[in-house]
Amino acid sequence: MTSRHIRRALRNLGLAALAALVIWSMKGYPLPMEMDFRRYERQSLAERSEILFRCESQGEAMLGDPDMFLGVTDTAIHTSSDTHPLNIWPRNADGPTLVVLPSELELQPVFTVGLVAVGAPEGTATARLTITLSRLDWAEDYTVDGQRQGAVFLFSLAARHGEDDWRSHEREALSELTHQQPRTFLYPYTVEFFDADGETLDVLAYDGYGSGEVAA
Amino acid sequence: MFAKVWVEEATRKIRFKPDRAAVGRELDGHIRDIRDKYEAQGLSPYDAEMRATADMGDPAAIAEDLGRIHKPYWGWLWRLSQWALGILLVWAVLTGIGYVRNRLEYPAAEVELPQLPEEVETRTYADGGVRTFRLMDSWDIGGSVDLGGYRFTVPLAYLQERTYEGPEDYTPLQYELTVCLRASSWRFWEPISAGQYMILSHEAVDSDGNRYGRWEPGLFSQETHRHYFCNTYGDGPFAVWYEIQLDLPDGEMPDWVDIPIGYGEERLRVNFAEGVVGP
Repeated sequence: MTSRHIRRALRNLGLAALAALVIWSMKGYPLPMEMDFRRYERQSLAERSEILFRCESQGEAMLGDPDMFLGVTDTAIHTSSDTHPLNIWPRNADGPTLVVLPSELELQPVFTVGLVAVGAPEGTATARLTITLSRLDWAEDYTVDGQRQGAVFLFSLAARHGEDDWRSHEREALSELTHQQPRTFLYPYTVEFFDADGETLDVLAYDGYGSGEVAA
Repeated sequence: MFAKVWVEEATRKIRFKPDRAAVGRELDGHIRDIRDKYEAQGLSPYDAEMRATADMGDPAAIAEDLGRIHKPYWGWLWRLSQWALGILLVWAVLTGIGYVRNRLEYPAAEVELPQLPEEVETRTYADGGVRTFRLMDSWDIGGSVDLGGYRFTVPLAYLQERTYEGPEDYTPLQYELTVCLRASSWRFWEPISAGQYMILSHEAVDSDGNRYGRWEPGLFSQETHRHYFCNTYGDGPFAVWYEIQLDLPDGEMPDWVDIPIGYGEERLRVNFAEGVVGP
């Protein structure tokens, strides 16, 4: 009787595993977000990165998995979210690098985009980002203080205008920011790194699309 | 003791109910056999049943033995596996209905994989321009390279001369080398990325020192690199094709071309002189 139970249980479990495989395949082989991130790295023949930062995106949460990841290798920075599987940014060899998180941090009530500085100089206590967003004839400077998140600094760039004429330009510029790729990064920015006494340790400056390489 | 009472007493320590019922049926059968034998010897049905149950022994002692032999765990696992299978089958059917509906609504586009072109192909455009594609050479490239768990082969490689005559200021004569890479893996849940920048993110170089790169801001420019392009094609769940086009400076074939793959440092060498692909 026992051997019959074992035989039947094994048969059922085998069939259940097969059914699970069929379901998994029809759903496009989903995995938990971190495993998905690793899978994207393998599928792109990219080096396995060390995950330095993870956070949640409100927009992604509405679609499914809210997690966003940022991983680094010696030469690249990988960012990922459910809808932006893998963005690969070249990493500055001798200094900090600024990247944009692939999905917005917050949709409501204040549209907020996340930028992350990786490789801040040793002894950095605070960091400040100044970025010029522009759209058609509109342009505006934004200055944001970074929040230290482990080994990186997170800059939460929030919309500042209410329901006025500028709102759509600002919103579009911020949305566009999340789709930025390093080779077509539109907006000029400066990231300053300060020690505990407020002395400047390093400045990362970029003059905008078409101006050439990012200079540390 | 009546047979029913005896059987209930003897099987009460079997914790898996279906086993208890099955063993009970078996014991009941034995009792009936013995009872029939006694009845054949002339005993009344009542006496025959009493004698039969007495012959079967002490039901309490038998219950202890049966309880020890019939552990319930495999039975419970079997029951659990039945539930799991049932739930998954229902889930699979529901998912399948959605999947089939989706497929009917958005049918997958038919993919035509690259093939060796005709010896001569001519295309005439609306403005009167005529392009002629002349197949100059083709190669059977053997071997394979394993990179990142994917196997790369070169199913197709050929050189075409492309001429243009017409009103536009296009280059009148070009030589285009096409190399098709096929990347396959048995890991159907993890096919290699079919993005064209898997190829175009880095430069290719050939044995003559020519450099090929995608002309794009942040990548390469036409001052430093010859034109380089890539189309991709899905080939079922296990493979992806990369059709790579290199603008050779003249009809002279290089011995080999180093082609970068992916966003890391991987590359492979297509050796036309030896007809083989290698790392």
